[in-house]
Amino acid sequence: MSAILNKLAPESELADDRYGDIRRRAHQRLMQYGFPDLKTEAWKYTSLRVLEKRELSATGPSEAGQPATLPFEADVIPMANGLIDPDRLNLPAGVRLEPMAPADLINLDYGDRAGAMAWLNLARFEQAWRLVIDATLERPLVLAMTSSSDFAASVHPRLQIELAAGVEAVLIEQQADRGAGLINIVEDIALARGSKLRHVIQRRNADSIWVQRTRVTVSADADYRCHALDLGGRLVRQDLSVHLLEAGANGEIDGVAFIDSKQHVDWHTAIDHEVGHTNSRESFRIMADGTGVGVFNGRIHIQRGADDSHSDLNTANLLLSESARINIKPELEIYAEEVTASHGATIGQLEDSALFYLRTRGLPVDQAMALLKYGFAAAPLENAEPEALRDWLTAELETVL
Amino acid sequence: MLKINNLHVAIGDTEIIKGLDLEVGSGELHAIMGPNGSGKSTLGYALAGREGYEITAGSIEFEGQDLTELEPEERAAAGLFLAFQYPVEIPGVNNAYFLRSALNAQRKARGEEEIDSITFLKTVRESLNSLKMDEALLKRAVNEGFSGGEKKRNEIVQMAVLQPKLAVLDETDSGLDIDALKLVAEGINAQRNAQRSFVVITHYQRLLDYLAPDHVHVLSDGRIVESGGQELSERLEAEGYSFLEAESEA
Amino acid sequence: MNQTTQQVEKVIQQRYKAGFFTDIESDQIRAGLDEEVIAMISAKKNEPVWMLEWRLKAFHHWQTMTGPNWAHLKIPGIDFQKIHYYAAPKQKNRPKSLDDVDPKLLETFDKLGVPLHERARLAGVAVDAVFDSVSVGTTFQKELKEAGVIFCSFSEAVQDHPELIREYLGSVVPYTDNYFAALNSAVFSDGSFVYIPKGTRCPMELSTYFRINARDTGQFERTLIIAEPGSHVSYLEGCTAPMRDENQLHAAVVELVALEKAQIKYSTVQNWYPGDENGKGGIYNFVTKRGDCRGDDSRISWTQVETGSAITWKYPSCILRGDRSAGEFYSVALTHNHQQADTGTKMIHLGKNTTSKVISKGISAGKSNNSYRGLVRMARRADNARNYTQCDSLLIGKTCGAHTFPYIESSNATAKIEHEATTSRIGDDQLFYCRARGLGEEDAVAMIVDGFCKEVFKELPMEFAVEAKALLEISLEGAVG
Repeated sequence: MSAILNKLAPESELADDRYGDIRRRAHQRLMQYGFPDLKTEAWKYTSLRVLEKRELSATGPSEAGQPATLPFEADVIPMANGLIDPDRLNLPAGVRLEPMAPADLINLDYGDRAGAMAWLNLARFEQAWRLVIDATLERPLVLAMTSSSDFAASVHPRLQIELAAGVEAVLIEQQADRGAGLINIVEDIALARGSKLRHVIQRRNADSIWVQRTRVTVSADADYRCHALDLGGRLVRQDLSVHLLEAGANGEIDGVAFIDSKQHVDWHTAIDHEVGHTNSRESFRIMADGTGVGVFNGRIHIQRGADDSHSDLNTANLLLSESARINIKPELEIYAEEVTASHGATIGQLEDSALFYLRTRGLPVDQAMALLKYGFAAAPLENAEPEALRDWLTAELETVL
Repeated sequence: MLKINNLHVAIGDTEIIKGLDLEVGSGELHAIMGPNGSGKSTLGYALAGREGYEITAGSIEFEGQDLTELEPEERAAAGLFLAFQYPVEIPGVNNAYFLRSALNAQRKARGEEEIDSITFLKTVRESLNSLKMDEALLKRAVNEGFSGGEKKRNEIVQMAVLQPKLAVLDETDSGLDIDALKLVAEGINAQRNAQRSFVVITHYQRLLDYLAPDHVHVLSDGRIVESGGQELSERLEAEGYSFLEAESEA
Repeated sequence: MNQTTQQVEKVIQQRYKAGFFTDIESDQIRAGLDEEVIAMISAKKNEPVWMLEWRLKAFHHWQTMTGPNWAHLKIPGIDFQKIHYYAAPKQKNRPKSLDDVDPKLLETFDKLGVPLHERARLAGVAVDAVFDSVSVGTTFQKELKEAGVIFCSFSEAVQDHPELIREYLGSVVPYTDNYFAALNSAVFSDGSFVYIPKGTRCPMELSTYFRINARDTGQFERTLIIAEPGSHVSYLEGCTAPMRDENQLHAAVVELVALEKAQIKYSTVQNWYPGDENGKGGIYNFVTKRGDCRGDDSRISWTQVETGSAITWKYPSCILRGDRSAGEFYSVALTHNHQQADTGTKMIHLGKNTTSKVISKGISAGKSNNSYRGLVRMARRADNARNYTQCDSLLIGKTCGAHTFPYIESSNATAKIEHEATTSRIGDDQLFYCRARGLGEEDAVAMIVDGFCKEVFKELPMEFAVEAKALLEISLEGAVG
């Protein structure tokens, strides 16, 4: 796989800007550890070999087209083909966007080859933005990540998002890829004491390889809620780790992925209880149709001394066609006592008895199936608030059923 | 309205119904009683068209139409309703949305206009109130988290909204306390008229006390072995199903 | 640490009662692993050439492999050149019957509660006793022969039934399968062989008792059970070793073959020396156990109660090849002090309408780590296959770990998989409730642990259920006072 590495990160192309030392160090690590393959536990079900076949340019087109308009008022930060143009922004009060300082990027560690894509990002990012939310937002803040149909570059967006103490916000990542490149995002989100974030990831991609690593840290009494609706893409890999750092921190993930033919979607979530008196809950559902492949790895980690922590993970999955595949791995790693931790996981199909019941009430097969799929997939979205947000997500879901 | 002639139904290799004849006229209420395993629920599922219930011989005619040719939803649109012994839970699907979708699908199949939401809600609310069901149930998922009794009453609500020509009620009385039983019986009686027929499948006589059936049939080992009026159900209640064996041995 | 935890800790401190050493002259092959040692083992057993060739092929393959590193275990480097691969109690001739066996050996098994001599035999259980690398004797030979059942040591089977060994050896666990299976294939010394003829219900429980005695010795036994169409067999396995400061390696391979409508029930009570409270010594138990439901409607059931070993690495598995075949796995694993266990099962559904059930109960105390690792795979052809898995962990104390790593893979849209896992601890309220009803602390803990494991214990054959319960009760002895 070293051919991929030389292609994705030729040493000669490392930018020699003010982040130069950081880039070189990351590049060294990348070369030292190598690229993950199917023997790398974290990449057991997802191969990045498809990257070998792609000719990717270093920069994409400057225009990416408009993101779909949302059915509610929102402030939008457009990211076109991986780049944010700071001159075009109209940010609401209490929000500022600035380049990250090199000091924020030293001493990062993405481990061995499992973290290769993050090392790659650190070596090659085009922009690194720090988004600070200092005041409670009245309207959702939307990060509209759009790529154009002629997009065939490799881009490595980097974001650090900070919520100040006590602030409440809704942040929507509206992702619409229309191209065939590589989008490799590294994103760190920090919730200061008592803050509340509703983090929405809504994704509907075309042929790009989309790799996103999201790391969330939650301080005392802060509350992180993720609502994800992933409508797939050629290859999507999402890592989402939520670290509960101080007592009273709460983390919740509700996600749905609908995966159709020629799509591969892999979600790796981890909830890490680093101290006691922290709570988490996760519900994740996959529906795979056609030749779609779905992967879900959900880890709960309760560290030594994190007594009196509670965690529950539930994953239900539907295989809708003969050729679809779903691989899941819910994991519990518990080192503390006075904890309750549990997970439940199922893979199955639409219930014949439910289908028959709907048909005896007069619904034709197609409509009955769509209703059952909707009922299955909409459940995790029920927790999304405000109502307008929930309605938008469920409407998006309906468009694919 | 319904003519069943020499019906044989098998599940896999096992024949459950072995030559059943039954004729139900407009406005009539027929009760079918029988011990466990006699084929009562199989009859209900065969009428509604459940997959795996194979009709190996005989015919079912509904208003002159061959019912066996129709898909379950086509039977529903034609006016057949089955109240399930075990109503199915459908997580995530809103009760009101479900019922309205079903009603409109049936109306569409019959070439009728879709019902407007105000009229629909009014009808549903009336039915709910008459069965003493909380309106909040409309916002919950279909049958999910319902108590046993609520599920059974919910079937009657659906029947009232869908207005079938023939309702087959499969042990709708089982698992109900006496108050709920009365409500269900009232719900059924309120729907009775000269055009609507009922087949009430039950194990016990107590529901029949409130319904006063026109005909009572006893199903045993896949056949109707005895038919009569309400006195037959009273005899069954008094003597139990054992008298069937005594008679068959005689 | 609160009071409850202390009580429970105390209660769980296991007394290892099988830790004695038998002073008997041993015939040992020099330490180290090379072609010569393998040839010597083969020669000691007077094996045919094909057997030696197979061993050497396995050895050459093993040399190309590296040890597994993915389990949730910390395995210190093992020096394979320091281990003796063969040790046998010195006997003048191969004993013709149990009467000729060295009384010291009989006494050893007596002390372990497995008497071999005529008077005191376990009723209804035929026992094959393996001491270090060899089988010392098998009871009830005559009765089994009458039923047509073959139950003998693996070495005897190589001599007496070479056609069966050649057909089935390595057919479930090929020597290429994994590091320790390859090692075992090269150096295995003895083990048990079972053959149940067509349509036969084995008239009694079959049992092998493994004892590691000699110093610096590895035990590499191999068990092969073949159940012909329509046959039934229940097989039990028990293991102990003396208390020693150094670690000893146990790398066994068990292969089960169930043909059409055959049923195999395989139960293990594993009580290898776990090391002392500081983590010194103990057995490394790296075992490959796999059953092949080769025929339609066949059934293989694994039950294991694991209380011993310093490190356990073990995944008794079922390949559900035949249509409607069924696999079961019931497990209790108790770890304390510095023990580490990474155990679970694999259910590979290949055939249509196949079913599997997994019930795993892990109890961790002290500084131990206890992991469940399992795989359920529904292959594309496995129409209407079903799996149900339940993994529960009980934590005792603040310094142990309980982990669950289930891999769940489905490629069939008619298959259904259900998995549930919980982690909890013995609650103060549970203990208090029991005590308020008049139970002593010791009884209360025993009762709670027993209740936690009940679903698994009830799967054990009667003789072993008693032993398994006793084993846990020994662990719970002396809690109060």
